[in-house]
Amino acid sequence: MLNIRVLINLGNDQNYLVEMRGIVKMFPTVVALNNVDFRVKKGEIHALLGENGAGKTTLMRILYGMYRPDEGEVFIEGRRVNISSPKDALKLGIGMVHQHFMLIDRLTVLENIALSLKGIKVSFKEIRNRIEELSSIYGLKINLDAKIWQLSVGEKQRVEILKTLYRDVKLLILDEPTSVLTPIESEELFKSLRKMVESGKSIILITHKIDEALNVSDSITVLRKGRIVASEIKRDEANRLDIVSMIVDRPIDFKPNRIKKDVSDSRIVMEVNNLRVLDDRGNIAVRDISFVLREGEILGIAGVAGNGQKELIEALTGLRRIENGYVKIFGIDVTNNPVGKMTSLGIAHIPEDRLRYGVALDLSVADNIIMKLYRKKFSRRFFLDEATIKKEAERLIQDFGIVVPSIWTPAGFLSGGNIQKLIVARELSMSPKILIASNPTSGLDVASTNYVHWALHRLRASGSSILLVSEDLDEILSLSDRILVMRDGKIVKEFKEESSINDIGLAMTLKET
Amino acid sequence: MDIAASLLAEAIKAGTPLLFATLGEVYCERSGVINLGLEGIMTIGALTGFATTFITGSIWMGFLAAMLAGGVFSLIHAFASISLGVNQTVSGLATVMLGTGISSLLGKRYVGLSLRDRLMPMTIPFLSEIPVLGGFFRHDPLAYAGIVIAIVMWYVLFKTRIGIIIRAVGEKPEAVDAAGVNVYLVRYICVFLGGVLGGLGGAYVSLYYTPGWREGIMMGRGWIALALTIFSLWNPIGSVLGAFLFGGVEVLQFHLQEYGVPASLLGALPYVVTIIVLTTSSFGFMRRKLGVPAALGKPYRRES
Repeated sequence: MLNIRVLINLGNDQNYLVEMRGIVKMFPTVVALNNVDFRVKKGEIHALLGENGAGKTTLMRILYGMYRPDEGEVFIEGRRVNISSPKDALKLGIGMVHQHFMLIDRLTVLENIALSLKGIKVSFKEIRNRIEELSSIYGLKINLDAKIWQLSVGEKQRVEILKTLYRDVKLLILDEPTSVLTPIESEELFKSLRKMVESGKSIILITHKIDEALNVSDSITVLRKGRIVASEIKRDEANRLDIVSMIVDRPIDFKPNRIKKDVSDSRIVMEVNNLRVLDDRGNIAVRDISFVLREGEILGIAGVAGNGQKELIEALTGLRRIENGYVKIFGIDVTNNPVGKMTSLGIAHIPEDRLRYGVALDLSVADNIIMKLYRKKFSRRFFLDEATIKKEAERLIQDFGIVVPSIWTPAGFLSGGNIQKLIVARELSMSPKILIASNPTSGLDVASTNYVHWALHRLRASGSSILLVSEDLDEILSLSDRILVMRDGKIVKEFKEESSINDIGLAMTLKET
Repeated sequence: MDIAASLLAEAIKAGTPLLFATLGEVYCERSGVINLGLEGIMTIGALTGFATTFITGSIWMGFLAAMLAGGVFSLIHAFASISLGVNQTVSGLATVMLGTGISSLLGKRYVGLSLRDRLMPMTIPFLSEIPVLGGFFRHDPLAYAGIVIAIVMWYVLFKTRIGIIIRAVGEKPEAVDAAGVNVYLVRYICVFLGGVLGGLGGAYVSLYYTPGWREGIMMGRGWIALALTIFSLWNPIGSVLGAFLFGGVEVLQFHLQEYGVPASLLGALPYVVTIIVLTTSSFGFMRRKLGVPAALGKPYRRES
């Protein structure tokens, strides 16, 4: 029976490198993938498009041998295969670059690559030569003797890609590769990917960005809630609006208004004076910055990542020591006050490093939701008030569309996007007087992003102030009443009126004018 | 033979059992498993070595059996902490109690017996006559072997791909798993190796350093080796220095008694140093600087 099937496949599917049929994967209480068929041709860039939690990563982890499917079959070049570990996948010529990099910070680039070549007899010298060759063919420059922690995110991604190329993979899976890159880095990445496809490799691009799928890929498959909505749409046949409606099953109705509010007469809620903050390595990251945040405004801070925004935010929320200068909130000096004090003053924080500062992965969704307010809102005398907790958790899950099996599921089981939604939901539900938000929509899909934007506006309308740091310029532009541009730890420019993305982009990258 | 040279020689002799145990623990912890059971494993090694030598009459059979017993016994901890993913502190402490308990029970009949076969020091002519440094060259074969093993282990850990894998498993096991390497196997091997060397260290005490079997023969050497692992910053070469230094402290304890320094005070000295080393290296910033394996003590579970 099986043999006949194999023969038929050999006859039919010569052009397909990968075929996944009838894949079913269940996690405790959710069906992550429901009877999914997925095919990729040889020599194409294939976009796997869908919202957070749609099952894209799960499907690819099955292909890469990290998960076992509960049902279904996988064929590589028409041959039925059993992939039970990443090792098997690599043997079959399948490589994957994960969203969270699988690199060891304390080892060098060369050592990391050597690690991935376990079982292949090569010397360090051979590895060095081959990597240099691969770098020049595909345009992936890298310093082999640098330690991983010294590299930028884009460079780390290059190391990951080189690791798979060294294994001479036929298929490269990239999980949301541009979510960590600057636009220029993304362009470079796509150029390299093009070269790989030209040399006969196939690429699967997991993404939730529609434009990226439309611009870069040869064909597109759309997943929604664990089911295939459309498969193998050719690029030239693809229509943006159709695809949007395939991805999202909720209507998008919120458009942020671009009307800027003039709040120059409102009272000052936060005053930052001559702030100096160091980074992890002890270098000055924030150079004597001063600014004010007024009641009822959204103050945007734009800048290329790594220009001191992270350190500034951490200093303002009590996570990082302030070396010099002061911060006043409602006129009270809170310089170097503990985080708990900040919270009690009505400051909420959506952190950049969501896994580190945002959630406790082993605690349940409900526990994470009450984490900051359990003393006030969720306890009765000495005990936690289960009924209120349950009601609040369920309300937030509903409002923010968090995909989660139950409120008692550990937060660690949620996808990256859903964790972000959970954090945003919790912080906004505190009805803070000041919200400090760092990339609040990073990793979120279209619908969730809109919801968060709407929620931020509602918060502002209620009289609260928001300090918004974002690498997404469109987000800064559409939300902020006022924009500060940060570069090299300084505020280099302030935009008060309606301004163009180009002006801000220039200020971010050029020297002071 | 000058006094300094003989003190050095004694320090090396006293430090050699610590060296073996520390070297094993360095690999174990580099792979991410903390094995607090060292005291128990060494005790098992000491008894097995003594009993085997007593029965077979061959001291080398004794050492071999001790290594095997140490390795096999440490698999209990390996199974609990790697396969079952239980708390490594709890499992390690259980291993100590089990090891010392079993040894006291089975060792009763060997108490007070002595051996015929003995390890002979190999004094290297001329070199051993050099003032002070001569102390390096009048030892039994195992003390020399300890230094050679340390150098080999250093080379493997930092200069070969096997070493990269071991270090990587202790830093970020999920990355190693993604590279198609069996994380569990690497950890099992490292824990086993740690047990083998721990057993050897134990047998060195019962067969050579203080020949004979009695309860509590290890006198906390397993605990000192654990501290030495940290003291050496998880580096085999550092282990050599640390082990001989602590060996020296142990030796001084005897010699200074003649000058009226109370023995109990000196006896506490290694533990005082242990506490200082442990506290210094437990500060967060020191931890990063010192190179504590990032995944140390954390069981690895593949998510699915």
